[in-house]
Amino acid sequence: MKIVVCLKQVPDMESKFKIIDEKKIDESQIAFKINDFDNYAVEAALQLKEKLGGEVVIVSAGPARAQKDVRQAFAMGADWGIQIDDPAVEAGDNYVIAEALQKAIASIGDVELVLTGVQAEDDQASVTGVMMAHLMDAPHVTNVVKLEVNGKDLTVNRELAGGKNEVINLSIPAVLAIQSGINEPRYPTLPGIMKAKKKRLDVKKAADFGASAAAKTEFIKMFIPVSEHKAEIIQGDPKTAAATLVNKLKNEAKVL
Amino acid sequence: METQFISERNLKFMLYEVFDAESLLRYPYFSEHSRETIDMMLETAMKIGKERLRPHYEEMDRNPPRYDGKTVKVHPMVRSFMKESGDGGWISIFAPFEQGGQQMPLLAGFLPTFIFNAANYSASVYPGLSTGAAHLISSFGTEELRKAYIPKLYSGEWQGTMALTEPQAGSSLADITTTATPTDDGSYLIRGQKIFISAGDHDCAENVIHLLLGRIQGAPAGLKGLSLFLVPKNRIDGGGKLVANDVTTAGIYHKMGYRGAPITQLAFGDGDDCRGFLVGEPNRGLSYMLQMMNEARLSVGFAATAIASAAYYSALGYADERPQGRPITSKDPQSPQIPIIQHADVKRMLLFQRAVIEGSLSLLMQCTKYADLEIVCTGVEKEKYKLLLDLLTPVAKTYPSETGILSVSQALQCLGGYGYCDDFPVEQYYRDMRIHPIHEGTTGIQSLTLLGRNVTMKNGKAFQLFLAEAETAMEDAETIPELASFAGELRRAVETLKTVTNSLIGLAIKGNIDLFLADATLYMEMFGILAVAWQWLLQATVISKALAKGTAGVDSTFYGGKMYAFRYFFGYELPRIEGLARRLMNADGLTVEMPGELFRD
Repeated sequence: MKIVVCLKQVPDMESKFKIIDEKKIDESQIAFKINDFDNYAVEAALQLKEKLGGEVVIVSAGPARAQKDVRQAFAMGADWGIQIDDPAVEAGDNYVIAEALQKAIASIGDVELVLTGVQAEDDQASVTGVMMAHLMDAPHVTNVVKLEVNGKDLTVNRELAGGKNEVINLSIPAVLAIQSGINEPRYPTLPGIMKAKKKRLDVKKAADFGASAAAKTEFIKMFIPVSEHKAEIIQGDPKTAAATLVNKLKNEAKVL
Repeated sequence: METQFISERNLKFMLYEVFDAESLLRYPYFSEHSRETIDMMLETAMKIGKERLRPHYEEMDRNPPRYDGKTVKVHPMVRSFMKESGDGGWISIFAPFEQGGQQMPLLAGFLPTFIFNAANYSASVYPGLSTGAAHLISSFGTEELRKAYIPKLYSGEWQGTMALTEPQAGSSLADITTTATPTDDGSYLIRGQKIFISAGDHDCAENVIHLLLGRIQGAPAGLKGLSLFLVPKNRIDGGGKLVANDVTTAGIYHKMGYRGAPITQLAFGDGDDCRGFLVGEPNRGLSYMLQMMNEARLSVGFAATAIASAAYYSALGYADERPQGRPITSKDPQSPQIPIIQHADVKRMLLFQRAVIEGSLSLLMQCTKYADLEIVCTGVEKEKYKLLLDLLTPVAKTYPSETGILSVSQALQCLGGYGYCDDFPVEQYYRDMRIHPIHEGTTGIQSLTLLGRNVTMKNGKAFQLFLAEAETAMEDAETIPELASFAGELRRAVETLKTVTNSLIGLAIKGNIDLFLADATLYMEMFGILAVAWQWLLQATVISKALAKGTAGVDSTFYGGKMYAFRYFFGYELPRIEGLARRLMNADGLTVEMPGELFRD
């Protein structure tokens, strides 16, 4: 089975974030890593490969620094990959990225299954996979917590609120967003790490695949919201404190 | 629990900026590795540390191994971690490619274990013991032994141990009495008792392979009659099946710390059916075992440093958040309390820890680099690095172990009463730390080795090489105006060390061996402080050169903190050698002459 996993490099959420000019994150303060949700997709793909044979290809859009995380997936056992290193794609919205990924996947040929993480840790948009499926004219299921392959048919469990599942059948080629907890992603092994640096990684521009979509949304600004919640401890003996509280509820909060 | 237990930034600084790991990768033997693979290895080790080891740290302490009369039950995570360590190639990290290993430079390859040590010391020792045992078999064992035992040790299915200590022979290995009687099939019948054997038996390994010191019947008394044997818990019979090898677990000890890993008492050959296989030549066991011991000694130094590092980050997290007291000059009791990290005395405690931890790590990595250079160099160069490694190994074991206890104690002190309670992990670090000056050769033994053997070996050649290394570092530092005075202080300290060393050797030449060695432990303390000062000067030189080129952001914070720790070491720790020197120059023989009975009142 030929499987593509879309992998995104994201900032380590434990980093200290500083926003420059309400436009972008100051990367000098940031450590980058694989989007944790994508690790589950890589593991799901590797398990299918171990069962059914075939190959696992990593496709990622991101600058040169993203290569280390594509190779991390190689060290886990993925076979080769494509990195779309293109500032125009990087500056685009989810749709631009979805189109570039979809065209890159199309260039591989005969891809039967595309897996993504359920969302990216940084923008939490959860739309790139859906858009890719649309562009591929392929079925798509989100929140996949179980996955079985029977020839060209897939049976997947999709997680609903409250821990409930629904079971869905679909046919390949398909795009699935893999939910965390479906498996326990393996750690790269040292022999895997050694092999990873020799595996094929094609670095491309969007134009190499004929990708040229324009953004469908306009980015305005990013900022860290200032919490407006205030807590006040009312001092004094119970009688005075209760009177102060009633006064505040009446005259400041105006809820009485 | 504080999530940080190690500074990744510092590891990278030490690897690439101080010790230039990439220079090692240019040697053909290590050329399959690259900075990229080393970084990925460290990233993976950090993930394993955080996700697999850290969550079990307290749990393994609260639920220590249990002996049910037959076997030792340990935390079930040990089985999966051993498998991961095998599958991941961590157990075979240093072995050559042709033996299925990863051929990693020691400089980089010790760091994953360092990370695991900091995350969960008890869990980390299981695979490490197998690494040491397998290396011993591969270095000195027959092809047959290698084929039969190494793959299962590397895969994590079998556990390796080192079995030296006996009830009557701990530090005094010369008194080992375990016997080995030759049999017709070439194996030996083993009989004896071993105690304090780490991971000597547990239910998360199918088999346990002991590398055991014993005495072939008729062998000379003392160290020269010791031979090395491979003694499996279950031996492989003619059909390739595992059968019990008459190794019985007599019990486990209940320890103060490091409670997630069992230390066992083992009986070999109670039923006269325990087979051992000679490793190497008869009566050369101790020299072989020293190879494993020397690796194990560096491992202990790393582990002590790692535990101190984890304790430091607990203390730092607490000091950052705990409001207590006001600035010493503040007179207003209504003013808000300040975080304790703003008090000079708390900063002193934190700086002490950082100076010890980062100085110790530097000395240990210096040793691993010498070990790597010994592997790749030839002739005079090879000999040079071997001598430097031999000289410094007991120091790199002892300084972090002894000073690490003080460092964790200061971490605990930062938390005040909470530090003494098990709501925070620091009391566990304190207990876990205490083993290090004891196992793999006590501080007393290391100190006798340093002064009684290493300083004088080959007519003091190793010592001279060490002085030359320090001289190079001082000359380099002297080219940087702001470091010149520090280099001068180290130069004075080196002169003091030379004077003390000559004075002590003078006693030995006159035949006063008791006096020569009576305060070997103080000599070790002095040597350790000086060696760590040398390492701090190396670090400060690298930083000063980098700052001269101009850096910003993260690096100015990192380098700035480092420079304070460097100045702390030179300002607070290095002067301590003056007091030690004064005592070491006094040959009044106070401890030698005092009769034992006067200790009673």
